[in-house]
Amino acid sequence: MMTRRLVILGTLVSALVLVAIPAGADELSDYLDETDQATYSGRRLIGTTWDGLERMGVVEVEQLGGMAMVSSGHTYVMVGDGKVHAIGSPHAALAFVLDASAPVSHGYQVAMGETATHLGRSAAVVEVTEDGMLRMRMVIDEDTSAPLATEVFDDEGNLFRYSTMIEFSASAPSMHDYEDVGEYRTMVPLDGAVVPETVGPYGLVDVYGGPADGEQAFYSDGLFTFSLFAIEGSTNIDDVVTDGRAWSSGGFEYVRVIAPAEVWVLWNASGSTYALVGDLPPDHLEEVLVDLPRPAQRNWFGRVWDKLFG
Amino acid sequence: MADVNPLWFRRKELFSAFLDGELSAEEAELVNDLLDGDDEAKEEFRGIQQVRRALRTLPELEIPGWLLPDGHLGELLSAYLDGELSTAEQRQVSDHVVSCAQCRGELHDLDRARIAIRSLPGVDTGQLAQIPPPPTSRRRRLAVAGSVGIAAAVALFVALSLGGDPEPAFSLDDLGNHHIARASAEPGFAVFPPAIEVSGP
Repeated sequence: MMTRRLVILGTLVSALVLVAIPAGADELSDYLDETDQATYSGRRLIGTTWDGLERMGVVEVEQLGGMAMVSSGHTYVMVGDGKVHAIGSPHAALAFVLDASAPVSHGYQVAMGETATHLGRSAAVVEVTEDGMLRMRMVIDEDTSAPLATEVFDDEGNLFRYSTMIEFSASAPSMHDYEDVGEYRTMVPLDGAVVPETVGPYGLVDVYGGPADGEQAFYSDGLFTFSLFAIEGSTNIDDVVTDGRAWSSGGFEYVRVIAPAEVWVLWNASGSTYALVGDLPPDHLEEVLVDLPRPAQRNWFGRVWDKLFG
Repeated sequence: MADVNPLWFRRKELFSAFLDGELSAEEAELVNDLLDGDDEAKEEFRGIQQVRRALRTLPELEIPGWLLPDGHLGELLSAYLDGELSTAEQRQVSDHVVSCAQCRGELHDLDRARIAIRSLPGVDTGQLAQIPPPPTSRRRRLAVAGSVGIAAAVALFVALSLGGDPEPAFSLDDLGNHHIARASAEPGFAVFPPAIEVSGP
């Protein structure tokens, strides 16, 4: 009798472990916070694939106390807590962040329950769905809460971005010697800047004085983020971008750059240059662009000139 | 038990006010009464007098304005941008700037001025440290605005003189770092800094 009860109880417990437990935005925030504070090191493969174009790279990464050191070859970059310091580069930046916790959109649902093994480590699988569609899958190390692998999908279920540790250690030996000695370009929040409060499903978090006398508006839905830079004056985008490609959205022409961890979109409109950069998936990006100034159309003479002379 | 003058217990306060000239004629007379024939009271009076004399001989120390409840950072902002502060001072400045819109604005102006000056050809940015800080906030703002104006005028002159294609107003690396700096304060960020050279697997 006792044995039979134990078997029934064991079966119930197994079923509970295997059935995904739905959770809301708060739980997603907790998972993201935990991955942010994890201590680990190793090598990470990261890539983005879109419209048959793929960009990927491998970096060595160490993370401790919310700061990460990312290196490749002879360069390394310290990132975290509002700071970026590329050693040997003049582009260090420091953001004074007034509100670092953008709320997670209520459109996301979180399911957790499966377990997996990645690089021989026991891991939990967290799946984030949006309107019933799988948007992100995270494989989180059970010991350290480090993100061992992450996949992001577009609205048709295609893999858009992937990030996976290909070597992993539950320590960050070099980070203990890190001293913050950088001279930073400061990013100061602007009071009273006039930018849209929402664009697509994203909410404005804050605005900064950006490079080139422009403004940087930072948007988030709690899971993905992007910055919109508005720079006064039109720019010949070909002078700025070396590997950009023409890309059409909503019947308007943009220049798009796909990088391993983010996508850039640049255009001129209303006498200003706009540059959007972020990790948002393609369908979100298209929704966002609808709410932003559209690119200036080339006039008749310009289009003919392009056809004749390229 | 002899009657005790109730003022006896307030004598130190009275002596101090007497030496500050804050007593009325009647109260000064009371102090006289307290001192009259009382060696202990006289000793205390002399002690207070000596302390006040000693205090007057000390050098005057100016309390940094930003330590005052409504103080602002002033020239510390410049030192902050130049990386001349200690770690503790850096943290204090960071904390203050986050909560003070006025200092954020000044920091922003100063940073812009530095960038404008740095962008000029042949300018030794080390000389920036020798620019004396203006004494007041208003004058500082004027000086910053002046610096930006002069820098812009010189940059325009140089650009017109040299001719040729102008440099792009911005670089993707620069914008990318600004984005990553901000995004890195969000939980769960996983970015790929643009300054890293990508190597294929």
